[in-house]
Amino acid sequence: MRRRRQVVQFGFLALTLVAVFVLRAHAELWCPFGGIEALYGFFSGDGMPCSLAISNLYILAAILLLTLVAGRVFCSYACPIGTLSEWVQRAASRFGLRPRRVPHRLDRALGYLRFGVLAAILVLTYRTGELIFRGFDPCYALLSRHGEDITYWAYGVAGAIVAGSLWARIPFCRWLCPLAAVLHPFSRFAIARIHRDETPCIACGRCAVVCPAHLPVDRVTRVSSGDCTSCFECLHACPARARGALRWGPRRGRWSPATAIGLLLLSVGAAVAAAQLFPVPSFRYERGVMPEETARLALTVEGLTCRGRGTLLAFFLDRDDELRIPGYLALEAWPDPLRARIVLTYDPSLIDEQGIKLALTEATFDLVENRWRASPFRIEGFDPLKDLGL
Amino acid sequence: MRRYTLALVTAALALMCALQPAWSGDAETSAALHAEGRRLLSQGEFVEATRAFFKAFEADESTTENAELVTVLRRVISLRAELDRKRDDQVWERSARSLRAFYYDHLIAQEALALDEQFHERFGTVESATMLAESRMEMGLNEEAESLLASIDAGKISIYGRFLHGIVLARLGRFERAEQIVQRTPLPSEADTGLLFQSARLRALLNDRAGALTQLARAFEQLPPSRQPIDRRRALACPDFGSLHGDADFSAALHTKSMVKESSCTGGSSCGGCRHAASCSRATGG
Repeated sequence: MRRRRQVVQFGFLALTLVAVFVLRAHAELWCPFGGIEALYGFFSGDGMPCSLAISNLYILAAILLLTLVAGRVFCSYACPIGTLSEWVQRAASRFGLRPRRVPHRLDRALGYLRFGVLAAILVLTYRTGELIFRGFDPCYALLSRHGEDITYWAYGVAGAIVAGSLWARIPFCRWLCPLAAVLHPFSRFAIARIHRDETPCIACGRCAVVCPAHLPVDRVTRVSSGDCTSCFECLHACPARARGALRWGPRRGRWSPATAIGLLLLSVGAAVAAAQLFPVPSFRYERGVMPEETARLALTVEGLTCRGRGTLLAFFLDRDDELRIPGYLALEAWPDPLRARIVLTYDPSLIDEQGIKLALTEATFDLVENRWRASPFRIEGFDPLKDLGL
Repeated sequence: MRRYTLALVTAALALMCALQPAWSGDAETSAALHAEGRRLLSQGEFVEATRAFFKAFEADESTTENAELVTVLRRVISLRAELDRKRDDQVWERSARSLRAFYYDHLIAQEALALDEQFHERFGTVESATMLAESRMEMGLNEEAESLLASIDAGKISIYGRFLHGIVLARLGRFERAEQIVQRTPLPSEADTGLLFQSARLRALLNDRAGALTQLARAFEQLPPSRQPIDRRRALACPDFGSLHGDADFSAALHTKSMVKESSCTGGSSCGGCRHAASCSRATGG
C-alpha cells in the first residue's frame, strides 16, 4: 500500500519533470492553487492573472471534487512539495534523524498560519491583479525552469522546507501550505474517511504514531479532521486491520486505497479533457458592434506571455494609425510563455488577414507615452522582415 | 575510459575554439553595421539606414534592437512619404508628433527643424513656436530661436518655453537675462522629465554645477528604465552640458537609478513591478 503510494508520487513527480524539462511545457497551467488565484479575475471579467488559464480552474475544480469524495488524496499522492518533504524525511530517518513530535497546542496554533498565508496571497493577488508571490514560490521556480521573475527567496523557501522536513513531518503541508488551507474544509466533509472499529481494535496506538498529521486516530471512531491527507499510513501500520479495526471509505462500506488512486487519475484526466473540450480564453477584448458577417482568424503568437502582454496586443490591434483594424474586433487569447494562441473575430469587408498580421507586428507610436513601440509579437508562419518594403 | 574522456574534452574544446571566432565575428559585423546605420540615420538617410540595420539583424539575430529599429524605421519612412498627403489636421498632427519624437530620440535635428517649420506654419500656436525654437536651437540657430521665443506673449509662454529662452540667452552670452529667467521661473513640484532636463541645461550654462546635476539626476530618476539610454545619449550629445563632460558626477547623474517601475509590456523586467499592474486588464477593458 505504501509502495503503491510511493510509485504514484514518483509518477507525478516524473511527469512534472518530463513536462518541464523535456517537453518544456508551460506546466504552471496545471497548478490547482493557480486556480484559486485566478478565480477573482476570471469571474470579475478582468481576465486571468499572468499566464494562468482555464486549465488552472478545471484542475482546481477536479481536486476540490476529489477532496469532497476521497479527502486530500492530491496532497498525499500528487503534490511535489509533499513528495519532496516525505522523501527528505524518510532519507533522514535512515541516518538516524527522527522527526520530532510538536506539542499538540503548538501544532494546532501553527496550523492556523496557512490560513494567514492564504489570506495574504489572495488579498495581495486580487489587489494587484498579479501573482506577486510567484517569485518566492519554489514550485514555480521548478515549473518555470527558473523563470525571469524568480527571486532567490524561492530557493530559500525550498531550503527551509527541506530543513523543516528533517525536524518535523510534512511541516509545510501542515502549517504553511495555502492550498491545504483551501482543501481543509472540503476534506472535513469528505465522503470517504478513516473509520476505527473499537471492538477488533487492540489499542496499540500505532495508527496515531505513524500519522504525519499527528491525528489521534486511536482515540476516535471516525477521523473527521480536515488535516487528514488520506495517506493511509494508519491503515498500513494497523496490526488488526484484517479484522476490520481500521477501514477507509464512506460511513458504511470499505473502499480500497486503490480507489483513491483511481479517483485521483480520473480527476486529473477529467480536468485535462475539460481543458481540451472547453478551452475558455484567459484574456478577452472586444470593441465595436458585431456586423452580420464576421470572419475568424486563429494565430499562434510568440511574445504573448501573460495578461499584460494581452493588453499590449490589444493596444497594437487598436493602434492609432493607418494600420488600425477598422470596425468590429474581438480578441480571444491564451497567453503562454512559449507559444500562445489567439483567435480574432473581425469584419472581413473592412480588413483582410494580411492587414491584421501587419497591425500585430508593425511598430506604432504611443501618443500617451510619447514613444515608438516595436511589436514584441511574432506570428508563426509570418515574417514581417521578409520583405523590407522599401 | 580515461582516454575516451580526454578525447571527448579535447574535441569539445576544439569545437568551442572553432566556433568562438565565428560567433564574435557575427557580433562584430552586426555591431559595425549597426554603427553604420546610426551614422546614416543621423544624416537623415532613412532607407539606407534601414538596410544597414536589417543587415545587422541578419548578421546577428540574437539582439532584437536591430529588428526593432527596422520595423520602426519602416513606419517612419512610410509616415514621411504620406505626411504631405494628409489633409485632416488631427491626423497630420498625430503623424508629425510621432515623427518628431523619432527625430529627437535619434538626434536628427535637421529633420526635426524642417518638420517643426511645417508644424508652425500649419498651426501657428504658442506650442508650435516653442517646438520650432527648440529645433532651431538643436541646429545651433540661436539668434533665430531667441527672436522666436521673445516674440511669444510672456503671459502665454509655457515654463518649458521659458527655460528654452533662458538656454538660448545663455548661449548668446546674455547671462543676466538668463539668470533672471531662472530666478523668476520656479520649477513646479511635479515637474516632468522634459522640464527637469531643460532646467539642468540652463543651470549648466549658468555654471550652477550642483543645480544642473541635481535636476539631471531627478530627470533620470523619473524616466522609465527603457527610456534612459535614449536620453543619456541625448544628454551626452548636448553641447550645453559641455562644461560637465568628463565629470564623474555628470556620469553618475546620467546613470541615476530609475524610480519608475516597468513591466515587460513597457520594456522593463516583470509584471509584478509594473506600474500598470493593478489596472492592466481594466485599462483596455480586457
